[in-house]
Amino acid sequence: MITARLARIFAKAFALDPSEFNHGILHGDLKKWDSIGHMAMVAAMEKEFKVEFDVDEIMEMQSVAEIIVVLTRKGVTD
Amino acid sequence: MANVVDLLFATGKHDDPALLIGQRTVSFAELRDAVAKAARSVLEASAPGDRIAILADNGLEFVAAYLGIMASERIALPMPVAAEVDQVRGWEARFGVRAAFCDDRRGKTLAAAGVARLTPAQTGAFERHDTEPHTPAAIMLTSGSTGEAKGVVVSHGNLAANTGDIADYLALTPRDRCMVVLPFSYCFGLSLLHTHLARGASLVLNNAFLFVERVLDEIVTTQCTTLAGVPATYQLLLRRSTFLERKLTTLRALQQAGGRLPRESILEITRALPWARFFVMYGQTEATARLSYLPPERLADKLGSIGRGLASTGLEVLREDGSPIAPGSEEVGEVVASGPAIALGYWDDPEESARYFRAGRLFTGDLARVDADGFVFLVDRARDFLKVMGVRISPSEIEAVIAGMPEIAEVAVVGVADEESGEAVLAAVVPVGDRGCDPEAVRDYCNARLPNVKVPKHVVVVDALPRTANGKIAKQVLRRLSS
Repeated sequence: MITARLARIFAKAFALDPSEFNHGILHGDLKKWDSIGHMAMVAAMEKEFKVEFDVDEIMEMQSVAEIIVVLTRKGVTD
Repeated sequence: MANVVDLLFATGKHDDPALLIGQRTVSFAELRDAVAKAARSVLEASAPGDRIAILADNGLEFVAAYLGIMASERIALPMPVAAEVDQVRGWEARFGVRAAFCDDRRGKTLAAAGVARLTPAQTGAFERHDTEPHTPAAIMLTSGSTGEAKGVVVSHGNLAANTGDIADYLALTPRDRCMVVLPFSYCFGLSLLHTHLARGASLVLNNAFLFVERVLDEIVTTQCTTLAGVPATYQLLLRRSTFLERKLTTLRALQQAGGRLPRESILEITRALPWARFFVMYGQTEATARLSYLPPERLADKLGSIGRGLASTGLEVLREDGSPIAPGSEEVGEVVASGPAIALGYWDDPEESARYFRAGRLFTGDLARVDADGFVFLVDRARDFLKVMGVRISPSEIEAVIAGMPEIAEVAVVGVADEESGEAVLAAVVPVGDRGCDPEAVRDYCNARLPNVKVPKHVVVVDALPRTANGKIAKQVLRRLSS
């Protein structure tokens, strides 16, 4: 389940309690989601979903909703 | 002014004990005699101002040689006993060492280094000297920012001033007795010798701190009233000994300097030994030994502070432009000290001397803030700061977080070169017992509690932290762990 996998990544990268994870989270909502945290999240997603992101995609993922859009486009649906 | 050695013998009564070494008790009269014999051989073998080294464990040989050299107006150079032949040779060349005293165990090292060995004369009469306060008395080795040892030149006036201040705030009397486990080649160790002798008190010399229970036994049997240690000393006492369980009721004053002992550790000690006064102190070799102390009665409300300057030490915290920082704010400045204990400078190193010693003031390189009551709180050593992505980071903040993990016994944080961020945070951790520890768990723990720039990129699990001869953490060694 993509949501559960993302919740785990957010827990690791941003120290976010998985129960607080939701699709409405925006970059800026989480203190730990800064430029360094963003790169940690990207690295964790590449590992988890076995994909690679290009620079535009990395810039595009400014919210959980956008992350799911990018992942879906790359064929990750589960 | 009197020679500092005369001051150290001014109070001690003839037959009173000065040193207790194993089964042997050395009275003040016997010690004076031993000093006179060492002085005689110094006088015959050298000229005023010559450097005479000492390579010996804490013992009668060391004390007699050290005081004999200074009494003769030569310059004493105590070397760490763990010194290798190459190091001894290096210091001999660097400081132009004329000859050296050593104990029997170090005779080989000295011979291999090609340094002439002095032995005390058969007889000697103690002579008083009128010595100018600015006369160099000793060169104290201290690790510099590059890791290479520097020699701090300390004068007779420096020693007299600092000794008087410390003995005053500790309120030492002839009834006091100090358990000494710190080496006399370290300024903190030597300050114990100076202060206790000066007040006619005695010292128990125990060079086997590894057998910590024996040290505790000896505190009991010899009825020590004072104990001094660096953070590593107290950590060992807390974690690997029965220090807290034993009722060491003779101990009335505990001294701690040489780095930051965690607040929790201080509280553990003061709770277990409520009859003892705990002195948190701060100093630098460049200031003879001590710069400030926190009065024990302020420990409760100023825990974490290094206190205020000694009676004759001016302690200021200054901005880069030289103006004082605002007390009671979060502003951080450099600790700058002045007064009669500020050393003469570094031996034969005008460049380094000019950097730290300016117009009679010592620029310590330590960063601190000051609270509304004038108490100084060290933030970090300037040179220990690291810069990650351009952000100045204090290792102690990260260390404090990791120290909060129950599975971690000890931690040290350093910066290591990093292509992406300039410097990266490296944490070396020692797990409690044999439980081991997952580096990733340390990272996760930090990530949940610290901003991203402060989360260690590297976590290295080690059995023990590397330490210098003085018990300080060898950060230079840690920096090499990343590769």
